[in-house]
Amino acid sequence: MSMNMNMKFEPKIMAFVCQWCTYTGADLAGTSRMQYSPYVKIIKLPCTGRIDVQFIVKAFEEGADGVIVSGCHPGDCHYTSGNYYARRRFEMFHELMSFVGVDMRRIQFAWVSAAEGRKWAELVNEVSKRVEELGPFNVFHALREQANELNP
Amino acid sequence: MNSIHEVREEARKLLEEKRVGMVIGYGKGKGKKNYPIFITDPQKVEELHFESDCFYNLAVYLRKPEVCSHGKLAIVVKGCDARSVRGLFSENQLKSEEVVMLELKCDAKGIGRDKCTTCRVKNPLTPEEKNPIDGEIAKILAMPMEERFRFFAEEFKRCIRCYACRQICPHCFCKTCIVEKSEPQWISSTPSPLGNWSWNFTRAFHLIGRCVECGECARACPVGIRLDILNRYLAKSVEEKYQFIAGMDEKAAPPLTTYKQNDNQDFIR
Repeated sequence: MSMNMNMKFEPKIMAFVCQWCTYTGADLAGTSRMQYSPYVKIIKLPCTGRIDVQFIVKAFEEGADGVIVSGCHPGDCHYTSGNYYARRRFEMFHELMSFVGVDMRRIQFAWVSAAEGRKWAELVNEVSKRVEELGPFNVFHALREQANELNP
Repeated sequence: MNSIHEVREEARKLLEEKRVGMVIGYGKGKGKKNYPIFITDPQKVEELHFESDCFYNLAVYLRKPEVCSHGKLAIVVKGCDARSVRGLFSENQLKSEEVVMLELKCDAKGIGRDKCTTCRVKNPLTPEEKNPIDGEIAKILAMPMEERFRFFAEEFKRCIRCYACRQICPHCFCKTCIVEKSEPQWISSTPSPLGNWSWNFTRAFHLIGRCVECGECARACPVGIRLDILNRYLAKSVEEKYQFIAGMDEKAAPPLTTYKQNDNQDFIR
C-alpha cells in the first residue's frame, strides 16, 4: 500500500459481528451519538458461529490492516451455543496465525452485547489506534503485489 | 495380530469367507520398493509384505470411490495409521463395522521416520525421546513475528498447487475442496504468493485436531514445504489446550466439533 508522505495512514479495519448482540450494540453506539473511529467497516452475520476464519484471511487478502470479530457473551447466544464453538475455533486460529507470523495485535476478538454501545466504541477506537501505530500490513500485502507481478 | 504371516492368513480367511471385498496392504515390486496393493483374490494374499520402508498411510484409500465400491474393506495398518482410521470413524466418514483393521506389529523405529521418535502408539513415551521436528518448531518460535512471517511465506511461495498434500491425506476427504469453489472463490487457485499462503494456511487450519502427524503431506510435497512443522505444532497445541490426541479414541469428539462452557477466553476482550 503506497502512500504520500504527507498523508496520514488510515487503516482499513474489517469487523465481523453477530446480528443479535454486537451489531445491535454498534447500533446503540450510533443512536447514542457516540463518536468513534471511522476506519471500521462492519459486516453483519447471523452468529459468531457463522464466522468462518476464511473471512478473516480474505479480509487481509483484500487489503485490510486489522480485523475485529465480535459477538454475544458466552451464555447469551441466540442459537444457544454458536459462540462456544466459535471460541474454540478462534483460539486455534489465533494459535496458527501467530505461529505463521501474523502480529495478533491486528486481530481482536471481543464479546459486545446489545447494551454495550460504549464498549463497542471503545473497542473500535482501541483497535484503530493500535493498527494505526503498527502501520499498514505490508508483509502480507506484499504477497498480493508479488501475485500481481506474476499475473498482471 | 502381529507378523505379516498372520496378516496374510487373516486376509485369506476374510476374502474366502467373503467378509470383505478387498484387502488394502503393502506389496513389493521388482525394484524392492514397497507400494500399496489392493487384493480381491484370496490366492494372492502372499503378495502382502511389510518391511522397513512401508511408511505410506494406507488409510487414504478407504475414502476413494474405486475402493469403496468393493463393499466391506480390510486394511493393513501400522499402529499410527490406525489412528487415521479411527479418526475417520469419529467423523462418521466410515462405520467401524465396515472396516477390518489388520494391525501389524511395528517396533516404532522400524520405518525410521521423524514421527517414529515420538510414536504415540507404542507405550509409554520415554523422556529421552525427541522428535527432530520439535527442534524446528523451537527455532520458529524464537524468531520475531516478521521473520516468522517471511519464513512461512517463503516456504509457501514454492508451492506449485499440485495438491499432492491434499490427495495423500486420509483426512482431506471433502468432495469439493474449498480451493475448487468458484462462486465465490475463497482462495485463488493460481500458483502465486498470495493464493499459496491462503491455501497452505487454510489446509493447516482444516486439519486442526484431526491430523495424526503421519507426515505423508510433507513427504509427498514435490517442493519440500515443511507442512510437518505446521501440523505438529498444531497437534501439540491441541493436546495442550484440550487434552486431545487425534485418532486415539474413535468415540471421542474432535475438539473443534465440541466445546466446554469454561473454555479459555484470555484472548477475547
